Amino acid sequence: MRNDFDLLRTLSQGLLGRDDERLAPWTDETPVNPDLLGPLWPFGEPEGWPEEAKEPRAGDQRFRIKLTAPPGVSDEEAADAMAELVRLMDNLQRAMGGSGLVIDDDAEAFDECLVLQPVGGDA
Amino acid sequence: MSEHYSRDNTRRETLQKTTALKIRLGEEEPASLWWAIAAWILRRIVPGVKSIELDRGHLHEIEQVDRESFSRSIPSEQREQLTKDRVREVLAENHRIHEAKRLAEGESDKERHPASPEELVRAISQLEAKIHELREKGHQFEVPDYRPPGTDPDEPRP
Repeated sequence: MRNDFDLLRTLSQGLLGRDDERLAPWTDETPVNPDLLGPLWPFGEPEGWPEEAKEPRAGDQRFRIKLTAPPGVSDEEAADAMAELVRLMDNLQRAMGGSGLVIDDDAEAFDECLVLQPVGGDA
Repeated sequence: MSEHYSRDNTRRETLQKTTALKIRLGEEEPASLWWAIAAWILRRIVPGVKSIELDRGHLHEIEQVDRESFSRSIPSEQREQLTKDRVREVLAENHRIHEAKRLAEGESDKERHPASPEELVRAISQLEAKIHELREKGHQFEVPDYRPPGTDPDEPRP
């Protein structure tokens, strides 16, 4: 509970953005999603906690994240952008007490291309 | 591309490169941890662009040069593999860093070790800053909204 209070107090003062610029402190109207507080038992369920009261496991729930890079971005840069995003999400998950993210094998990548064809070209 | 158009008569111009990954937690992690990370990601990404649109400026320019054009999504196996390799690389490196830190602090691998509120806020800030930076560079994000109806605290209330 103390952790929740400290987290809410820190968040209410605004997050640090780039160059340590402080962003958007909360107002009296700011909605707070309880999920933002992290897992129910950040240090794990207490020893001897009844089996039937244990919270469900994450199981095979997945996020699908799609990142679309603008024109002029190389494949390497696009892959690096995704990797950096996932690294920071992994840091956040670990900071909440998790043991790291896992990626699935079935990723996909495609290019949205404009195909130019001369009028009256060979058919 | 249609087979009857010769290679010389067509030209492809890549407008956007889209990559999609599926991410999960360890199966034995608590569901509330999944929802916690989902809440932070959804909070920042869901209001983003939902669909890919062609750049109308390009189309206009093409009409002026008396060409016909159409758009096409072409799979990029090379980028798919590159992205998976890079992401796995950074996750493995992150794991090594966190394990080394845990061992240095004498922590057991059986227990959970959440960061202090200050460290947690720093992790949130860094993720927010990265999303902001990528958006400024023109990247677009999309994730499905996993929340059951009526559970979005930002939804207008009756």
